[in-house]
Order: sequence, then C-alpha cells, then structure tokens
Amino acid sequence: MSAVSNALARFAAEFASTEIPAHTARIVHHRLQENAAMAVAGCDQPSVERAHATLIALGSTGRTSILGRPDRLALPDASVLIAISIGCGWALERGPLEDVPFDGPIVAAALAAGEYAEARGAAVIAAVAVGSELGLRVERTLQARLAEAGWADGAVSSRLGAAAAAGRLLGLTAAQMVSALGLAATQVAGLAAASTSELGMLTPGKIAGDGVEAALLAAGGFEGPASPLEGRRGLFAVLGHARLGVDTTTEDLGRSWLIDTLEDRYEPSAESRSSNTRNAAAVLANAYDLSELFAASRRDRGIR
Amino acid sequence: MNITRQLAESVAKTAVQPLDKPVLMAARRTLLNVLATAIGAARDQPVNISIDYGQRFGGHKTVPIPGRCLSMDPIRAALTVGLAAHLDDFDDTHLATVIHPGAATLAATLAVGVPNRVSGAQFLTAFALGCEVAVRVGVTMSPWHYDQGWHITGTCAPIGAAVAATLLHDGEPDADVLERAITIAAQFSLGNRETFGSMIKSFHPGKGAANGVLAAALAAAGATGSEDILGRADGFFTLLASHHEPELLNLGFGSKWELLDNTFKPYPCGIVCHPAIDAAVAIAPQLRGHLDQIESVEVQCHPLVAELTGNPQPKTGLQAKFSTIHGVAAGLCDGHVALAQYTDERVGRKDVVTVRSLSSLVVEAQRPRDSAAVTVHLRGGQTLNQEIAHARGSLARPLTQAELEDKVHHLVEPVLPGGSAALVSSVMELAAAPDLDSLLRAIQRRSPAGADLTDARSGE
Repeated sequence: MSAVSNALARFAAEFASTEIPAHTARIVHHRLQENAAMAVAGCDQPSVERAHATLIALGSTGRTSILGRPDRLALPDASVLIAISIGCGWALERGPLEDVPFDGPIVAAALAAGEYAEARGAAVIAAVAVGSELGLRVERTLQARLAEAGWADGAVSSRLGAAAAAGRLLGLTAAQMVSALGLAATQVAGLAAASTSELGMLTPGKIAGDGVEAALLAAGGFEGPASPLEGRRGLFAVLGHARLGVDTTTEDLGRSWLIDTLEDRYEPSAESRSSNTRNAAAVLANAYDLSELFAASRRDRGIR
Repeated sequence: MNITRQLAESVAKTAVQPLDKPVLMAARRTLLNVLATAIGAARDQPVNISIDYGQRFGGHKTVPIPGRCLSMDPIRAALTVGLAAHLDDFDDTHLATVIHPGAATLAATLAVGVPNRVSGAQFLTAFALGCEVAVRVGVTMSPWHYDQGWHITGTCAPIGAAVAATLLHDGEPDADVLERAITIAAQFSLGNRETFGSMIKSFHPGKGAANGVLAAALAAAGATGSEDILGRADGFFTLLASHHEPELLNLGFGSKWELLDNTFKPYPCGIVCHPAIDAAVAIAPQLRGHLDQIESVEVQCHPLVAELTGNPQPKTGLQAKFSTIHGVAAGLCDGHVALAQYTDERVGRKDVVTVRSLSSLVVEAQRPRDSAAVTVHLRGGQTLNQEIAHARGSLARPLTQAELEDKVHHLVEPVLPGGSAALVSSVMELAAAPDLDSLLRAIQRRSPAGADLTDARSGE
C-alpha cells in the first residue's frame, strides 16, 4: 500500500478513539447533535418523500432506522434518507441556498452503520471524527481548485468521510479501508451547477449511500488499487492536482485536527421540533447503542 | 440550443421508430456479446461479493442475474450485471472513444425491462439508444477526457443507462422525463483509471448502471436538476474534460449511429493488446517445443500500448489484462489466448514469467493503433516475425457472426451447459418477441428442480 492512501486508511480503521482530543471530540459531538436534530426537522420534506418513494418503488426494504420516520430500509438506503433529511432540515433552518454542512452525509452514514453494527455512542462519535478529518484533509489538498473547477462543496470529502466512518463501524481492517476509499474516490461526482436545484438536496443522500456501500463491498472482499488517492490516475490526478501538496494530506495526522477549525455550536430556531433528539444526542457519548436516539427522533415526530 | 434538451428530444423521437436493419443487427450483436461475457463471469469472486452484498442489503428480488439461479432488486442487480459483463475485459469497444458501452446498458435494461415486462422490441430499442447515448457523450469529449485519467466507460455509463431505463418505464417516451433523467445521471458520474488492474474497474459500469436506474426512477418521480447540465459553462463536459465539442453530441442523431462502430473483443484484455496478441498467436506454431530457445521478444506497437498496458510482470489475472507483454507471452506459450490465460495461476507459472522477462515493448509513434508486430529472436540467430496490419475485432476485421457465436459458446457453455444455442436464438429473435420470457429462460441457470429462485425477502 502506498503512502497517503495507506496512512489515511490506517488512521480511519485503527486510530484509537481515546486519542481524539477532548475539544475535537466535543466539536464532532455537537455537530452530530445538530445534524441529527436537522434530520428530524427535515425528514418529511418533499425531497425526502420523493427519495423514499423512489427507493420503495425500486424494491427497497430492510431494518435500519431513519431518524424521525416510522419506516426502516436496508442500511445503504437508510443512510440515503437520513442524509437528505439532514440537508432538508438545514435548508429549513438557514434557507434553501445555503450550503449543506459537509459532514451531513458522514453523520448519516455513521448513524445508519452504527445502528446496524450495534455500536456504542462513543464509537459512532469517533467514527464521525475520523471520517470528517479524513475528508477535510483530502479536500484541503484540493480546495481552491475544486471550487474553481465547478465541483460542489463536499463532493470529495463527504463521500470519502462517509466510507471511512461506515467502514470503521463495520470493523474494516486497514487493507479493506484502502479498498473502501478506492470505491469512494472513484465516485467523485457532484457538480456545483446542481446545487441550487432539487438534485442538490438529493445529492447528499447519494453520497452517504455510496460511502456505506463502499464500506460494505470492501468488507465483503472487494479490492481496489493500492493508491486510489495519490496514484498516477487517482483522485488527485483526475481533478488536476497530480503531486500538488499530496503529502500535506497526512501531515501530523492524528496530532493536529482540521475539525478544530469547524463551527462548533449552532443554536436552532425556536420552531425546531427536535428536542428529544437533541437531548438523546447530547448524551450519546455514554449511550450503549443508538436505539434511544432513533426512538427519541420518532417521539419528536409523534410516532410511537 | 440546450443540448441536454435536444438530446432528450432526439432520443424520444428515435425511440418510437423501428430500428434500421444495420442498427438492429448491431444492437443484437452487442447484446449477445455482452450477455455472454456477463454469463461467463457470473461465478467469479467480484460478482459473488456483489451478489452477497445485494442479498444482504438489497430489496425485493425482481431481476434475474444472468448465469445464476437467483434474482436481486433492480439497483443491486444493475450493479452486479454491469460488473460481471465488464469483469473479464472481454466485452465490446467503440474504438474511437474506447468506451465499452454494452455492460452498463445491458444491466440497466434488464433491471428495468424485466420488472416492467417489456416487449423484445422495446428492450432492444432501449438497449440500442442507451449504448448510442453513452458513446455520443464520450465522442463529445474524446480524447481529452480519457487522457486526463478518467475511465470513460464509467463516466458515460450513468447517462446511457438512464436513457435506456427511462425508455423502459411505462408509457410513450417523454422528452421531459428523459431530460430530467439525463440531468440527474450526469451528477452521478464515476470512474478513474487508477483502478485498472483491480476489481474496481468493473465496478464502474455496474455502478454506472445502478446510478442510471436510480436517475431514471427519480426523474419518473418528478425530481429535477439544473438546466442544460451537459451544455452549460459549469456543466458536465466542462468539469470532466479540458476540451469538448458540444456539436457532436446530437449531430445526425437517429440517422448516423455510433453503435455501428461498436466492436467485439476476441481476447479478454485491454483492446490495445490485441494486435500484438494476434501476432504472437500466429508465430506460436513455429515455436512449439522450442520455447526454451527464445532469446528475446520485441513488440513493435502504438504509444498507447505502453501507456495503458505497459506492465511487464503482472502478478494477478486482473493486472495481466493490462499487460501486452503478458498477452504476447501467453500467446507464444499456449498458441491461443482466452480466459484461461488470465487466471492468477496461469499468470504466475514459470514458462510465461520467463518469456515475459525476455520481452520488451518498442513504441513506434506512427504505427496505427490497431496494428503491431512481434519479433522473436531465437538462439542460433533465427528470427520469427509477424506483422499485423489490423487486429482481429477491429473495424477493418470485425468478428464474423460465426466467430462471435463461437466466443459466446466458449463463454456460456461452462456456466450454462447446452445453453449457448438458446441464448443466440433468443437474442437474434428478440425484436419479434412479445415479451422477455425466452431471453430470460436462456440466461438463467436452473436449479436442480428446474425452477428459478424468485422473490424472497431481504436477508438484512
């Protein structure tokens, strides 16, 4: 395995959650709490309903929960709906043209995979942390060029982060994680031109689902190239940045965190209908699993 | 004009007309070839991984998997079938773009056509148009797109698949829905060439098909995107290619078909390897029993051969598909090149490893892409040489129908014993078939009891 992809894969799969700095974990936890609350706020919006109807028409069925909704779908499809709900919730709070936080799909993937894997709350928070950090670092290597070229915010970081978070919770080894990252990295799509349309609301769902699927396929033995990110025709190269600052991607990995530069806390509007969810998410670090979080989200929506 | 809208209107208009005879034959041959490759690879490990994933996390099982005795939900079936059809790199090639359009389009047409119980004619028309659109998208941005490192089969797949899938939904072809489907599919592109030599290469047409099926379903449900996603200044073509020629996307649509230039591979490996393999296979009879006399092997070739398939000592079968030197060595050692020459075991055997170590590529800038020459220097000074002006399977030497059916036979019989004849006849007669029943009987593996496994709940 080559340097950058290998280092990121090992980080995602093996970095001890106890080594995540307390202030970094707190930011991640707060953002997870907000994203979960937004999912509940947005879970009945037209884009969510349309995506849900489409997945059902395509035969989707399963046992993974969807925040704020009574139905359950298969793990990848549940992550799709959670992510779209998060985006719709943020659009309600901040207005439809505001950028959806890049970690929406990562949180969605982690919550869905975490429920499937019966993970503890602390493990889910750690998964979101490593997934977010990984995604942020890759996107930093590309940052200015991505926006200039016309790729949507989060087009790269979110899918990689979702694959990493889900993969960690599914117990991927470092070698398997390279394959998961390879599957995610080859799906770079996300045009900024779509951002102001309904497709812009649906895309975070696709990103979350793709990330979860990448992790599941890698867990099943699907293998990719050794250097999916830094290889001669890999992610960095096709986006026009061959060898440009590639090594900075893994500088001080695990010691310095780009997450620390993110917005920590957001106070929702008084109309937010997610108080139970927010409360359950607030104690997630001590939760044995995610069942109370999903149950709280259904209570917020009046679902028994 | 809005080229996305124009494309949608062209597709809608063409879809309600009977296919011209040459186009119909090209569609049949493309379909036959790619069904055979899908069946041939149906039991391979990456396909098993995809099936296991789909069985555990998929939905209601309505789409049969060619070569297997099971069905999957449309999205996971599309992923699996597209992956299988491209896995052996034995499918089709539109030589001007190097797109392999059949795999993703087959996967999408099966995924939507079967549950919607379409007629044979509808299926073939959707398949033809799906391939055509995928290739035209590629033509518009070739060669710059591929040169940048994108895997053009994957990047164009969702749009072609979305067109095929949309045409197989209920009702008359609708330009509005087609436009939305193309727009959504353009957002779901994928594929870089770092994945060559790994399982992910074949993931691209599979995922492209799944994305196209999803895009079509979202479009049918009314989802919308931005205007003219293909033609706008910040749109699909601008992001994925340093240069493109938008006028080519719709030029002569319906009267000039790129599908007529689709060719079928005689060897299961990268297309640029083929002329050199032809040369090696031609030399092999003269070498029989004298492989130990080889002193060196030179392969005179086009620059793309070194660029795309320059690996001199692959370690696995997948890697070997992108090694012209392996193809030549296998041809010299075995006298023929087929799937057996690309197993991990064959790739690692001493005789072919030795011949590879004695071989080198000699790049000739002016050499045409479908030509090559192989020169074998023997101890004692003798030289064996073979020049190939046009590779078998190229536009100048396309596989005859007999050669194609022979390929089908060799791919299908190990998986569906006695089934290749039924597959050929069901495809060649598909245009007149009222439904897909005959085709489905021909592609499915029967259980010992004679019945197929059908709908069962997800195992999650």
